Amino acid sequence: MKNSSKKLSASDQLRFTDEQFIWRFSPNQTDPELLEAIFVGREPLLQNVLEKIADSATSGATHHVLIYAPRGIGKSHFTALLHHRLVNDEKLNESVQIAWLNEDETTTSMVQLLVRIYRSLCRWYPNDYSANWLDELLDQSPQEIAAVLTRRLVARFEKRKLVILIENLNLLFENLSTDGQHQLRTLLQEHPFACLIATSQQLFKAVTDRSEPFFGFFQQIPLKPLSLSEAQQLLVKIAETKGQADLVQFLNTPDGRGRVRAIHDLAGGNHRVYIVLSGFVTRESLDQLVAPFQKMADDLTPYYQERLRWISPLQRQIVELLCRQHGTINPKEIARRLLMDQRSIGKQVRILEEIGYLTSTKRGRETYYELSEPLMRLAYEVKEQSLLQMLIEFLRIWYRPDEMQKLSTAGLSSSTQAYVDAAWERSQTTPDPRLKLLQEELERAEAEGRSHELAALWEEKAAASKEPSDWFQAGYYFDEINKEHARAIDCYDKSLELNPKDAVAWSNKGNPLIKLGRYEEALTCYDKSLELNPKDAVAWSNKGNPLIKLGRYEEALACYEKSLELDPKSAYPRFNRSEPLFAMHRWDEGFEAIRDAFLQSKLDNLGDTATMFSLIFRLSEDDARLQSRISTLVDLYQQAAEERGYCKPTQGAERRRFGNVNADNDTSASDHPRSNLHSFRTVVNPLSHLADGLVKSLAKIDAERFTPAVLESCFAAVEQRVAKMPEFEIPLRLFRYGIRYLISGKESEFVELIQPERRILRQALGLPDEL
Amino acid sequence: MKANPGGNLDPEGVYGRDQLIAMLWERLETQSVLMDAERRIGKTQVLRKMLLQPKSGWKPIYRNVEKVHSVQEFAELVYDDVQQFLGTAERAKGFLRRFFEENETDYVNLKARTWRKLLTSAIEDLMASPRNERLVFFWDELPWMVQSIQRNEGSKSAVEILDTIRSLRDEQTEFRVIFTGSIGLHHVLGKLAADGYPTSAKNDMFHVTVTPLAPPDAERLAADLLEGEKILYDDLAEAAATIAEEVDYFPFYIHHIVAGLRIEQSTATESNIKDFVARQLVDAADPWQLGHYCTRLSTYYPDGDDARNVAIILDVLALAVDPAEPLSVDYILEQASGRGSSVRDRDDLLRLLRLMDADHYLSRDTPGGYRFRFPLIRRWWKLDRGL
Repeated sequence: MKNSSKKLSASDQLRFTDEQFIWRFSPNQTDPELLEAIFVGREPLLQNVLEKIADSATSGATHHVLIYAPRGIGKSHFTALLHHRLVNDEKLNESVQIAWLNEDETTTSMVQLLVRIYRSLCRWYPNDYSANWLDELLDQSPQEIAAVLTRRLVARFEKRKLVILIENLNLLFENLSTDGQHQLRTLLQEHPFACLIATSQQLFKAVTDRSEPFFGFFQQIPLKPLSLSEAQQLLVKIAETKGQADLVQFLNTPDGRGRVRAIHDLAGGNHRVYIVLSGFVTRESLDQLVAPFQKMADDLTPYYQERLRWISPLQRQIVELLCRQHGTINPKEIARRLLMDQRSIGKQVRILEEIGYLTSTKRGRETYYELSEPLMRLAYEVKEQSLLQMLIEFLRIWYRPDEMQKLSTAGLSSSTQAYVDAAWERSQTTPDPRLKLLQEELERAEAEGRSHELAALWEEKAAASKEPSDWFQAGYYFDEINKEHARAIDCYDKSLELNPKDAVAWSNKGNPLIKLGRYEEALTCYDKSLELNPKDAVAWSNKGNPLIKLGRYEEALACYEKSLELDPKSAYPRFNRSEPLFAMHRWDEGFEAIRDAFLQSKLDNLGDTATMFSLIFRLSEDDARLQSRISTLVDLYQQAAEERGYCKPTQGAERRRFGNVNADNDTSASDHPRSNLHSFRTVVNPLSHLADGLVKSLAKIDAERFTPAVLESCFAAVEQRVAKMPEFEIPLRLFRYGIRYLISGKESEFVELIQPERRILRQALGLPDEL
Repeated sequence: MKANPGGNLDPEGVYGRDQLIAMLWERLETQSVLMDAERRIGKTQVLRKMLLQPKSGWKPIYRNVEKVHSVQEFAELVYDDVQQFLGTAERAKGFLRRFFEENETDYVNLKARTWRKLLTSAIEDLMASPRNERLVFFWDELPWMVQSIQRNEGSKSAVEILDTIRSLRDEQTEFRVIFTGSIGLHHVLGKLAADGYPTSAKNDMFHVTVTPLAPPDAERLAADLLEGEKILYDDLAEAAATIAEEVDYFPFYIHHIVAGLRIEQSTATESNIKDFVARQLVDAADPWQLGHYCTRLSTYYPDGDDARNVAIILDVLALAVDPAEPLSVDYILEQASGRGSSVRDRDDLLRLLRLMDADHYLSRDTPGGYRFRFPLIRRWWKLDRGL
């Protein structure tokens, strides 16, 4: 039995030609192994559906699922792969059989549906179901056939489940009519022997209207269009199956991503279109690109023209307008341009959305519409324009302006030359469309909180714009968010190549260097920055960090002091003074620095408490001093917490009042983000911050330099001081198990922790996530 | 357990209904049952659990009768079920064929006479036969069938079938049935009465309304589903309580939320759960089909201005400062008038309030005040009406 989800090894990798991908792709006739190899973004959903089927097969439950998405989004691919996984699942094979109903066959009655189901079973399970028996049965009356087939199916599936895969459920239900639907629902309700796994292009009345028999029957799951990054993965996988290692590498470069974006702009998330267009990515010569594009346009145009014929004249006018308009438009503007009443346009666009021609997005109270399949423009352009506008725009996204200029002087065929000239001419008068697309994508990614995608987007924009500020942004996000420090350094280098006098870029470049342990180089960067701007408090403060790592504590201290001279309210250097002081065993001064930070700074940062703990653990000479220092540290943070009303003052404890310190939460980022080695965060309960640091300190404990007895002493010292403090309840528990792990080296220590606790602790210890 | 919104549940997956089911078996000892509930409460799952785990001595036969469009079809269905139960199915089939073949003349009149005879004889056969188990019919979606018969064969036939079943219950003291349906039988009976065919076809039945789950059961269900779908959570009890409370302890919506969290690969935190529910309530596609609470008003209250007045009453209740505090009839009357209702007087208002209570929009407290029965519906109503 083969494991269908395994990755193909290099030796058994499938090789497919462009033509097989481009012109012969039809999921239910395609080798399932190829479908596996190019399956992206939908694995969790596929697993979900498989689990539902397994649950239906092994319990008394019956799940029914309807997956809906516009044409070409990948429903057939999904269904074909689901079928493949089911038939190859040895365990499920015992308890389910599958009837996969061909999407093109028309069924107008319940009895026909039963015959189709039985015929499909005959095809896939010829030993269990006899086609001859069915053929003989067809001589009976339709009622008799229905009754016999129902009895037989119910009896056959008494102990197992029938999975009926239905494509285009909307068409089936439309043809069955309400009576047929009632009969089907009744059959499934009275004899829950089958689960329906269906697809449709959209949700439709028969499943959404309460008065219809199948209302609420299915779990309805939308299949989302591929995102840009999923599209990129898809193209990478296609390249892998073709054995194009160089292309895989190219697709991961900014230029490669730019080309994926050009395809994404055309495909609009449409799975099928990516596969059709995937062959273009390798085309380096313009003639090789233009001719196949035109061929694709020729092949697809009749299909889109046919689809335009299916809708009413007014709906067609709306779609044509959107074909002319590249982008989104609201019903008010559509009404204005078509000289129509806004209300009737509003109704029509909603219908067009329901039947899969348009998609909508909300901006404030307005709804904007666009073509759900950008290639629909072909239907309009082919008859209206001598040159395909889509191809001109495609070329402008595909090639950078400088590449375009070079190409325009190369010897090209006349048809290609016409396109290049048009693209070049347009680039002289209109902005680079790639930058517009990237800017839009950046805004979307920020709004949707996809912060991990920002770095690559800025990098791609920088490659197109050649702006140092874009490279700077890419460097910032690679360093701070993605933690890809080497890549961040590359980006800062590119920014500095274009603008070597950017003091902030020099300072920022030092930070990823420190994280990679390249302290001397970091120091050079900070020095360069301070040469350009000696009054930069942040650069002074940053410079202190590599000095500590190099053991140059006095110099580090001086840097922090210098930083504070320039910006006396800054919390970061104020707290950080404690680090070199602790390292030099000047404990009292170190604690005083923390106390002073609480008193004097604006508290947009509460110090690197993980380092404070780790220094105390490592440098304390004996248990008594360890205990006392932990106690002092906790006292300081507890007092700060009390001052800020996070907890009640401790009875009887004599404390120095901090006075009225203004807890200023302002962490607003400028356009040119500055980064320190430790991300700023808004003010929280100081004790919670200290407790976080305790857990994080586990990462800084080098277990080999500590004996088990010392580790236990560390835990005992902390426990003695914080055991009854609610802020430490969970952190202390995690710390305890973390110490146990550091002593034994065994992950089985975590067994008593609950799942989210295990997750945090594994993170703190730098262990990979659990499988 | 896997989330399964809309599908059939394993009997063990039907939570919090054991007491109700025990009560229903007890009632069936003496009378038939009319069970109604708002959609999505899970009444069909209650019937399925009873069907698959019947009380000793009982043999339930479940039929979804929404597919039935004529009295004849219904009579044949019952006849067939009885003969199957008695083990005489083949013989019965022969009898039926002969019965019609030999009486080809005057077929229309024959049909009118025979369905009643067929149905009556089926039940008489059943009662007369020696047996170890008592048969009970579960006729799900019965109001649908009656409506359909009314449409196809007229109000007279629709009333006759109900009256025949009623007289069978009177005559055959052992004959038991449970009627259920997602539309209230009172609406169907009201239409028949309006058409000149009043009937007391349900007066002898024990009427039970299925309520949402009790909070501990709903929370247990939510927790088991979260575990079954392997959804991450910070605090299982808190997540389960939030899910259950957000949807007024409706099992269907609890399944729905957990299935949705799984699809979105979200962690079950309070904010994610609340955000998910909030999105369902304002989603233009109305994935929970709550719009039905508004659109069905014209069908449920077709007379005069009733539908409009009901909407205004719901507006008044939705705007109550404290949604948990019922509003007095006088206050509702005053506020509804202020919002342009044409409710004639106090009695007219009470008539509407009683209907709305029967349709599960409202609930009434002992001093006589009214409020929305389900906070989720109130929340949706406020959002949908822009109040």
